[in-house]
Amino acid sequence: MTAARHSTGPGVLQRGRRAGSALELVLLSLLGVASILFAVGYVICLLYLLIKGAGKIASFTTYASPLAGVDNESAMRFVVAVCAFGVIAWAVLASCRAVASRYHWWTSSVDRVGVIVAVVVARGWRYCA
Amino acid sequence: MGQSATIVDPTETVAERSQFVMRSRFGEAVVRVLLTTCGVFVVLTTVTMIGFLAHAGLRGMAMAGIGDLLTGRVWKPEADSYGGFALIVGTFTSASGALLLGAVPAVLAAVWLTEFAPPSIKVAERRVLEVASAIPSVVYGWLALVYLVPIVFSVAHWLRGADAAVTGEGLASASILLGVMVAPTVMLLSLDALSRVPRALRDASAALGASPWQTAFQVSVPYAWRGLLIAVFFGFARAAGETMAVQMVIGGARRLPKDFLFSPTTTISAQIVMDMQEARPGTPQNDVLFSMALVLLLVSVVVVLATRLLGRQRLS
Repeated sequence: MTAARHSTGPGVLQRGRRAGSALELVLLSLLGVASILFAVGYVICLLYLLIKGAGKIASFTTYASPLAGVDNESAMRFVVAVCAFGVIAWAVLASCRAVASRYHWWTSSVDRVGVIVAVVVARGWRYCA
Repeated sequence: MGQSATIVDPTETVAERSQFVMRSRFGEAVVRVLLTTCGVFVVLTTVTMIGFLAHAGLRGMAMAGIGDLLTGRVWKPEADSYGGFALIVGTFTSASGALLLGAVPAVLAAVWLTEFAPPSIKVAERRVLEVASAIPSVVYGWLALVYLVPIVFSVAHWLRGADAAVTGEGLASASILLGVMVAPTVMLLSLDALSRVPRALRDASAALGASPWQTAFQVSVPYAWRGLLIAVFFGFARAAGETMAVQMVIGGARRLPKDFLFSPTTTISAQIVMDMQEARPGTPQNDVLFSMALVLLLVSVVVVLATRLLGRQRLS
């Protein structure tokens, strides 16, 4: 009872009774929402780029385009393919490893099997294409 | 490693010991010479570059006339007319617009993240912005050309009327694009500046009865003022020097915009890129392009000096 009287007494410092506290709260909320929206905008933009770009790469690689007759074109294509698919495979494996190791699913044998599966899938994809 | 190597081995002879010391001193000397060479190389490269730019730029200024170059309205190199006023106005306006649209919200967002946001949100947002700041400018430019310019075109016609001679390309698109581009960098620099505010200052402010809002804007922001200023001016310098992305959305018209926001115009860097293919080395056109590059460099130098001066005044 005493505590309740103390907490509501006129001379007690309370954050909600400070002059301008309502305005501070509104501004703080606005700033927070704007700040989060600021980052969400970039996230949407990045995801859009990632999804659209990945879709384009996949659509380009599902059919073979004939060689244009440039010197060493097949070697250059091989290098580009190794770089592109190597990066994609590394990113996928690293992501899977990060998630799985958090739950202690990832072992060295799983690692080896993962690499083999990735290679088989990639080969199979190329055959299908 | 070094500590274990200096332990005296009782079986080691004086000759072996002195040989070891000689080898260490020789290694240190080699590293010192290498580091000094690298430092001198960086300084020499910068000084040579500025010297070359100043030499060619001043030659171009003497040829075209400083007054005409800075205030002339017609930029037509094929007719030996080098009036760079429109270029300078375009550069300053687009960079200032970028500051307004990108840097100011970025600094405010950094204040919220540092002072009020939960740590998880702060870390997540920081990661997103680190990725966003690493995106090449041409990607931003391409996205703006495909998505932003049509939106600005619609807004321009809605504001000025359907018959108005306005386009989506111009200072409005360039400012928005530059704002989006510089915001992550400004925000990351602002976060660094604000995170250097000592915890004791915040605690003292809270102990004196200040609200979190008052602590943020009357303690943390003034303390980090210099860092925030550097972040903003760094954003300005980056926006003023941006080339490819701006060139894709500004329209490339070598004149002052007919409609200030929604008509094509150009900037110094965009115009240098457009004219450099026809400006062969040694020609007057080439020298005048160097003059405009010198103007851009001087703008950056003035911005850096202003940052230091303002920061020092604030500190004192």
